Amino acid sequence: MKSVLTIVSVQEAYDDLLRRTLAKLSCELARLIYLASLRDYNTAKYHHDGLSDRFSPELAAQALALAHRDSFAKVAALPLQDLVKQMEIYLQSSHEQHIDVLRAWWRLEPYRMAIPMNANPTVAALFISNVKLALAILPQVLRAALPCPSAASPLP
Amino acid sequence: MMPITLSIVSGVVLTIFLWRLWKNTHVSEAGLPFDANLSDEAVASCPGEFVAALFSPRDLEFVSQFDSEPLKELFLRERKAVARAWVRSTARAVHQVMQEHVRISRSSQDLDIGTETGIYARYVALQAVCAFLMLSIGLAGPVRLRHLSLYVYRLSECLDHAHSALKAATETKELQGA
Repeated sequence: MKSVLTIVSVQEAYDDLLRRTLAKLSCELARLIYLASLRDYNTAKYHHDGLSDRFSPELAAQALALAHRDSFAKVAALPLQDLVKQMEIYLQSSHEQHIDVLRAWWRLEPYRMAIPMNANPTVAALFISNVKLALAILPQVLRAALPCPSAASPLP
Repeated sequence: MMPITLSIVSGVVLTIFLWRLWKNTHVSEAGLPFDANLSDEAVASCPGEFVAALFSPRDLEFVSQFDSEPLKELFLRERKAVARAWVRSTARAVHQVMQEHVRISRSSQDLDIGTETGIYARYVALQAVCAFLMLSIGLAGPVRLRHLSLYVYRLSECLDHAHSALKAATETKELQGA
């Protein structure tokens, strides 16, 4: 009985997270990056103050982990063309210089932190590979869309 | 004298070719994002939709639109590495399933020889096709091996189901006997 209640509560917390926070983000890639940022680097445990206040830290962590897995599965399954579009939307919503974001992603590979803890190794490898390819394609797409010299300059 | 020299030269060329192929495979293994031994789900099979996407021509067609040879080369290099990682993890998972299956079979009282022979034949076929895929991915690229990879996926699923059925039956009998 207790486990059924827990599952229902996790689902409630998940729905709450989806409605209040994730729905407001610009694209699935933005949701994935946001969810990964709520995970502690050392312990891989998720923290969200608002969600913890409304439910409990444990339920909030479970809901965040569930949301992270779901979001990762969606992004990892995207065809390359769709991933490039998602990255374009993500860049436009970041309010940063496109070239700065692209350069940081290219050099530091922060997208590796977006992989959930127990992701299938092949799916994780496909995700990393697709993001690398999308980063190589994006300057060409941006060059075609916006004749802005900063966006068009080649990556190191 | 000539045929002997030709045989030696052919042997040397074949050895170099196979060594380079092995080295290529070995190097790409080091570039994997995870140590499979550290992951809880290392033996879990990759979902079918990802296998289909990995060997699909769709992404290659998209990349080809940009008419950039370096981009196409990068794409092929990346896809080959991921495809090899999938073949390796599938072969490893199948091997682990078979090891567990043999362990359960040893303690089982009423094995069906026909079913067991079928399972072993599938295992041998899978390992052979995986070895072939590992070599062919480097030569032909993943897109041309789409049907073979999906065949490997389906066969590994069949083996997994057959093993799960025996495991469930053995556990049920153990519970009834207890």
